[in-house]
Amino acid sequence: MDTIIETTRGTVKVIRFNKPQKKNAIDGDMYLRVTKILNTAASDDEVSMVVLTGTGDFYSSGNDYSVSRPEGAWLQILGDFIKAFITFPKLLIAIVNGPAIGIAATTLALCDMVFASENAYFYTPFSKLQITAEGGSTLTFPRLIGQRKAAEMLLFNHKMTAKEGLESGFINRVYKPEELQSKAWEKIQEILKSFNKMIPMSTKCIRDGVWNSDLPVSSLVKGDIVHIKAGDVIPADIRIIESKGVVLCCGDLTALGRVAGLAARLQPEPSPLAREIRRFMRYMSIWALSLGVIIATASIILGYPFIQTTIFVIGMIVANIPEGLQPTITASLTLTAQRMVKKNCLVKNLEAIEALGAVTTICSDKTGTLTKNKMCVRHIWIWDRKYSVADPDFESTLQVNQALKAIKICGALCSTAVILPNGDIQGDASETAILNFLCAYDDPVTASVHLNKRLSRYVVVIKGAPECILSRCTAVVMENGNVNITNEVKKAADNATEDLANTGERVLAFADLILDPKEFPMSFDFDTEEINFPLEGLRLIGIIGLKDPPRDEVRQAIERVRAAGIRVMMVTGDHPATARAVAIEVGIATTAACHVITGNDLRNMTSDLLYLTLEKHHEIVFARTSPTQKLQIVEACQRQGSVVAVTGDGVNDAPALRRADIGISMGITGSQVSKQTADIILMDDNFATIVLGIEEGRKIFDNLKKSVCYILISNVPEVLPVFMFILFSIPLPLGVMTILCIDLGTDMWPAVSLSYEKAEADVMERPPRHGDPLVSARMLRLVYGHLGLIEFAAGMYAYFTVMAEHGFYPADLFGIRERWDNEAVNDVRDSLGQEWTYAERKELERACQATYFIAVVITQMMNGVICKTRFNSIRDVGCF
Amino acid sequence: MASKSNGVEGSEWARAPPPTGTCMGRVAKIFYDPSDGSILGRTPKRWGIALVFYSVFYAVLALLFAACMGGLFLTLDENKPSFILESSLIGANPGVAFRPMPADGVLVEVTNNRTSESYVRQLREFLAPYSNDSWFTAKSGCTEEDNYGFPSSPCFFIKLNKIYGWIPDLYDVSDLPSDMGSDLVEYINSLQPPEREQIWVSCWAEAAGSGSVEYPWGAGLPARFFPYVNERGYRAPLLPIRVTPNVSNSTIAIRCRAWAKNIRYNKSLKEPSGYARILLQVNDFDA
Repeated sequence: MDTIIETTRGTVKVIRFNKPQKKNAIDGDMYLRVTKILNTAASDDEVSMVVLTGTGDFYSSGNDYSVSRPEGAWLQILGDFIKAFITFPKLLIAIVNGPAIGIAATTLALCDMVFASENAYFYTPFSKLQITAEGGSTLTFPRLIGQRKAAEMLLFNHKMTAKEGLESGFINRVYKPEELQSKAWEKIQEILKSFNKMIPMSTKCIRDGVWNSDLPVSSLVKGDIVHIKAGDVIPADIRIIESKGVVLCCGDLTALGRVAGLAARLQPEPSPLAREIRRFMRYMSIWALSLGVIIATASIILGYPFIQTTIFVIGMIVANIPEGLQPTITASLTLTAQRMVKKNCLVKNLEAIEALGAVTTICSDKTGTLTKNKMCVRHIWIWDRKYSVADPDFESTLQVNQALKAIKICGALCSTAVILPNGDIQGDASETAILNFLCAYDDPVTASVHLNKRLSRYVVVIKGAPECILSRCTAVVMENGNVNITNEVKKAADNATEDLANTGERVLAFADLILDPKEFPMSFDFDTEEINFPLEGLRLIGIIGLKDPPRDEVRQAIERVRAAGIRVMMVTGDHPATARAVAIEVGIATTAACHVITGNDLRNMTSDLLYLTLEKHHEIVFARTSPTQKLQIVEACQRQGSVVAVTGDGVNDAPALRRADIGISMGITGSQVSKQTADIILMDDNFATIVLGIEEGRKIFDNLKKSVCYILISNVPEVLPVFMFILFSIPLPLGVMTILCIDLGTDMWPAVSLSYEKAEADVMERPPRHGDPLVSARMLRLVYGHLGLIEFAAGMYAYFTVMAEHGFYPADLFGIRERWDNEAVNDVRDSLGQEWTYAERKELERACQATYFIAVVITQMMNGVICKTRFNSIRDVGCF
Repeated sequence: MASKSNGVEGSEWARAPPPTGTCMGRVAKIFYDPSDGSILGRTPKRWGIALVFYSVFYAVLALLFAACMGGLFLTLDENKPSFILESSLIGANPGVAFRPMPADGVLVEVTNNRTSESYVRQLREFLAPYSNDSWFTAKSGCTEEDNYGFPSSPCFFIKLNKIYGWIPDLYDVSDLPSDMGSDLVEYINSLQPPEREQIWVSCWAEAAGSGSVEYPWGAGLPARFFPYVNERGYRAPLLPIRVTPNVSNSTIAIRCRAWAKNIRYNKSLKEPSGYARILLQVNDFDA
């Protein structure tokens, strides 16, 4: 029996220890085999990684001592074995299906990844056997699991369980024994997939007259002649000459490169939120500083010493600067970004998420975002009916239909798409869709059976635009035979075509013609360039309608976006009819009369006309547009005053993404450049995620507003006492220390906690906040004119109460300041004739400031409740 | 070829379009916007509504405040503080004060007849209410007649702060504190027992020999004046001291301590208690 089983799975080489009767103990032969496999795989381009595993319950019990071994050569063998592990340049993965002992455990440390089953353990009893720890384990173990744990294992024969191994970092993952293989292979597939993305693109080209079949795209230079075929990515700017292309520009100099460069150079304006905050902070600073200057002047004039004046000014500035704003913003944005990542939306620029809430217009592209980016056969028209593929009875009704059979043959043959050995289909999107469809309803192998028939006589199969095909047809396939085409049939076919085209489907007609074997014998040489066979009198088989179906969740998402007062425009490179149909289907357009502007129209429009068009029509679809025009559209919208979000995935979308207030790129289909430029990346390419973003963005703004409102309210009762002090000469009702206590102590936490508020129920039913800045005049009126004054009144009442209860009635307080604050005056008389020393007065003043402070704190509590909601009733939201 | 823009347009701004209109035009629009006839952002009608709202709002706020204050006054006694003695922040340890008060807040400076005139006037005003009290008019020395000793040897009137309900806990002659000066003890012993019911006052120059202190009316404030309960016509007892400086052109610090068991004495300058400190500067009149 083979003790080492070597198998290949795709590009993965699998080595299996197979000596279950001896717990997969490794003998000399096995060492040599594994060493050889690893060394071969190292230089084999077909192998991307090697996976090690064992048969039965054991991974391997280490050295097989039962087999005699030659002394000198033995160390050489062992050394080579370990060296093969160390020097292996590719990915080495171990699936540990059971205990790994001795050398089996030490080599695990040399693997890149280890997946273990729950019943595995790792055991290195070297000191028990009185030998030195091998396999570089004295070096690798401490690195992986730390000095102490490594000593436990290597010196004290500690048996490490799989769970412990996972905790200490010895292995990557632990699975249940029965799931181990499937889960581990799932992971391996994942790794392989990421490999595929990393494979550099290559191209075929002629350079200096020499044919290079596998030149990396990055090393193309000007003057190379590249060969391209359908489905290839064009590697550089080329000029086509006879189906080949001469490279004109490459890298950054290509049109795409310039677009990417332009996008990178374009320094965007700060996001709406950043602008708001900057503006707010600027006004706030000016206000605080000017107040500070006023207070300083007044204080100096009143004869306060410099230090006292400085304290006043600092107090005044601190009172006015909203210290809680920055932590609030950070908390809101971070919380939201975390939540968004969980919903597959990566927020690169934290402030962008708020901008998404302010969005008034979304320019969405169609393919991939609104639709699945996967052509599918949606309808089949076979005389005289239209069948929907989505119909559950589709298969049964057409089982015996001759026409369907013919369409299958025709679809399979008349195609340049090829099915790759691994089952993938490569080729033009429509043909791929047709083949996919055929695969779904028939075994693709049958196509080859029909090919045999073709050997006896040639069949011309043709597909194309229905109007071209129909004019060449003289007959039509019916359920049970052919019928000559009459006007009636023609009209029916025309109607079907129009019907399908109007729903935005790409329509293809199929026809065939059986050639007379006498006229066209087997040896006949067909020439498709100069057609030497008849293309008239064909037999019409049927019409297929293809469509890129909208994503399931998009329609609902757009409904919500529109309810939120946001205008959704579609900007696509597709045909107007297709664009319109998709627009109607997903709800961007509500009537068939929606305004469609093509790229050509756009080119002829002045910017004023575009502006007017945007004003006049609410539902607009841009079709057949180029990426530069996307930029033009974005600019036009912004000129209108809209906050624009743009979705895009291509390199050439980058300028539009950068120009937009929020650029949204696609995680799956998006190009690197678009992802770099974008503020937000939708990891699942799903439009519905945008809705979530809008909701989160609005929530952030709401919460910030609440927080700012809350912070600002306490400014009033902090600032006014100083004015009372200066203007009415009463003892200072609120000292600098108490101001600091309010601002940095009692106000900070509620302000930050407001950023944890949930979104209000109607957040998505409101129109976007247009012209509603972070701090509006309305809010200032509320804060300074209403709530702040109420707090101030409460504070003053508390102050007067304490003063009055100690004998200083309000009327006697006015004008008392000069005596009150004079340290030399030890007998200030109150309203009841009592006389107060300086120390006693100051004690009373502190007591008054304390009550004022408490009054502010209590009223701020109420304000916290007031600020908790913006539009909803607190009774609906609840206090906790 | 490659140097051309390759069909890609450059652009100067991103995100926000530049604002429209001239600067002046935009400013003028703030004051009067002809599109909707608004002045400073509101139409006259809106201004009216805002005005009505605010007047109502502030009226209600003022009413609420007034109601609160009214409530507060209902709880207050016209004659008696809500908190007295220890329960009040004023405490039960009266401060010691003096008249005339220094003109600049700290230092009593007597340079010539003109500067002393303001102190004399101050004392005259301060003592005017006492003119009907027989115990006051009966005293001699440190009176208006001798210009209160100003400017050569000025008089200072020592007084205790009035605290509602405070009753002095007097020292027993047999149990005078050990830190009391011997001349005061001697003085107390020389008095008749009925006259020993006083809060004793002793004054001394902080720098020995810089000035001498006399007590023209005696060295005590009679206990019969206490407690103070805010009755009409109550006047607190006073005690003048006459300071005769022995040095010139320098500052003399006089410390006056009041003696009763419930007057705490803390000699600290930072937290003074139980004494008054008079800083007196007497300059050469010719200088």
